[in-house]
Amino acid sequence: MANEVDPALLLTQAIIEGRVCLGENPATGYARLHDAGGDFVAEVPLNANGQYRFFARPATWTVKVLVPGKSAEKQVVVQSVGATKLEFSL
Amino acid sequence: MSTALVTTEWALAHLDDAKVVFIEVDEDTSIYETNHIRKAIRLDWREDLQDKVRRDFVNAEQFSELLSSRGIKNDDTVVLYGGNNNWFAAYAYWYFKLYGHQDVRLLDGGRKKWELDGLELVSEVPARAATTYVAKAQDLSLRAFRDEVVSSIGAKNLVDVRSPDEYAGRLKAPAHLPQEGGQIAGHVPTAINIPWSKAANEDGTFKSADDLKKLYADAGFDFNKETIAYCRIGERSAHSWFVLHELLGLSKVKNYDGSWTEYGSLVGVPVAVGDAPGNV
Repeated sequence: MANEVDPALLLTQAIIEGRVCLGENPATGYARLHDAGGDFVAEVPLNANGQYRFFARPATWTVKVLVPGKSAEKQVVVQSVGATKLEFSL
Repeated sequence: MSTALVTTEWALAHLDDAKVVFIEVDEDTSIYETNHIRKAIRLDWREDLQDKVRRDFVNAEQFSELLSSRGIKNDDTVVLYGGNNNWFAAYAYWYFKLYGHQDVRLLDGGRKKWELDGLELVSEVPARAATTYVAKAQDLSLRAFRDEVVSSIGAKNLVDVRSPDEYAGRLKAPAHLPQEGGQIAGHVPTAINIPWSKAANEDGTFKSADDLKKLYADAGFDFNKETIAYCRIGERSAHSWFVLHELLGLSKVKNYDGSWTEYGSLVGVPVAVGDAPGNV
């Protein structure tokens, strides 16, 4: 995953992104995107900085993060295109 | 459990078995360079498995040269694994079967389960002496092409394994990829939507055979009909092909690797949008 989103994508797509930290350090693991009905939609491995990014659409989404021995989830309502941040501290 | 699938415990017990070759296949082909299962080699689904000019696979001669150069023998047990819940590893599994490799298996849970279980990953790349591998001609009972898909509308099981938003036409690609592509959105009319992900547990392992049968039955799948599975480029549908053909033992199941990037760009074919399968 690139650190910066292509600015052109911010004008057309709903992007959900964030960082997952284990204490002070970036976590190693996975981020999973679920739709409003709870169905799995997509999954990405966290990058070296603990970051993830999804390209979705305006809707209600849940991001669940999995790291060895731990997991956490947060819901977000995305109302328009552009970037929405959802950070995790485990 | 099907012999097509091996557990992490089985893998750990066979890491030093000279007749077992572990191969990592990822969507992000750079992950292997960071680390991988000890003694595993890498196949690059794009560079190694696709023709350099046409949109097609390498031919049998090229596949033979590839596996020979990687030190794989015809009688080796090939164990495939990768990220993304084994999407591309399942694709490679189907590809090895297409070219007639006798003993190929998939590591249940793939790279994700291996990582989440905290098992050893290394950066050393193993050296393997070249072999003389001979691939068979493609087994086309496993591979569907566009004309067969069109003629199967309303006749065979067409299974669209993408996410519900892609099936309905609300997204054009999986949500971890930019929503790019010139093709239109939607699905093949009469295709039922059984997302690949419903066959997998959170750790990437496959659900039990009983759960898988119920999943497909509840979605309206007809176990007595021939089946074609598709997704966007054929890798997620290879995961579902593995479920149907290898885990549930259905013999007449094909993967349509052209998938939506081909079908959704064809001129004049019928397309359905929305959450319902649509009509003939």
